Amino acid sequence: LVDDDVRLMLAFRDGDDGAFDALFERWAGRVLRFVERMVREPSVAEELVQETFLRVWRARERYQPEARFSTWIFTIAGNAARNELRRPFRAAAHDSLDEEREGAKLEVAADDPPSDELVDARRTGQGLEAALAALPERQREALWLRAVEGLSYAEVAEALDTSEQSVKALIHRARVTLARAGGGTS
Amino acid sequence: VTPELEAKLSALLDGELPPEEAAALREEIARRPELEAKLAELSAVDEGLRALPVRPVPAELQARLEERIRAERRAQPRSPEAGRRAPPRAPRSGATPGWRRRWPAAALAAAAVLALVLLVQLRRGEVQVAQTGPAPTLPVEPAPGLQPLPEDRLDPGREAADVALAEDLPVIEVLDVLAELDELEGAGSG
Repeated sequence: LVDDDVRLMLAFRDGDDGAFDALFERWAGRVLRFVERMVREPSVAEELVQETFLRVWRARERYQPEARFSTWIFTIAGNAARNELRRPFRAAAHDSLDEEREGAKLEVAADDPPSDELVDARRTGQGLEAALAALPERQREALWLRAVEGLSYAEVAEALDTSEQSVKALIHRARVTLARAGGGTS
Repeated sequence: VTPELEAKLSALLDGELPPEEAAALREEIARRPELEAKLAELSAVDEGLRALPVRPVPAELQARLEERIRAERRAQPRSPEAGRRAPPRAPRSGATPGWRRRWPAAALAAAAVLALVLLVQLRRGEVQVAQTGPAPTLPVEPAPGLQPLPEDRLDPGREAADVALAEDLPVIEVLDVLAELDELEGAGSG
């Protein structure tokens, strides 16, 4: 578990402020592109990057290297992003992608017709980015953390506070949906 | 391709299938082109996600973060660690500074002295008006029932002794002294 980033975090915990700057240098970009896909607003995403690192800063004294640093920081960033998405004015806009609807898609077969969002994404040529944005929140988060950030199912499960089986299903459904929407061909 | 098989292909792509199951699936993929095509399709999704444009981190983001951290540092109480670095001085006795503990007693003593002086002057039949330079005295009629004090009570030395006495006495004791004076005067005039 003691990767380079964990060592930096331990150094920061022990009073080395330069280690915190190094962590920011190494991770701010990855956190930004992750939360940007979650909230889809650049200015809000930047706020969430600050919030994520502020939480890292606040947690420094009680930090214990119980997981890879990537798992830890994406857990923090994911929580911050989900909190943002739960804010009332956002929740209304996010309604079409809520968890109930995600649950209803559990039984969706591969040859079912694509959702309206995905049809729109294809028609307007927004491609994969728009199709990703149209995914239910947890599918989007799980697939991103696995496919882009390289977290294992167990690590994604920890970040999303769910089981590995759920993660496997979330990722599979997200992949199939994006593949039907045009996948990586856009 | 069934949804179950598709789910296995997805897990294979993630390296999350048990080794035996993964080997068996690879053999099946080698025999069935549609499975190979589906695997390629799913893999293309991941490649497409990794190829999405990455926005550079705005240069001012770290400065804004540092500002928020400075604000938190200012707002936070000192941690035990910080306490060890610079232990706060223990108060000498109680938490109240000495001047705050002493001023009520001093104010009471001053008020008692003032009351005593005014009473003495009233008994003399004079009221002094405070001002710079020699203070003129205004003759006033004694209040009904009060007689001018005997001459020995007007002795400035005696008056100073009264003030000195009052400074050292609590208010209750000063009031007792004043009552005693009244009794003496009552006995003298009667």
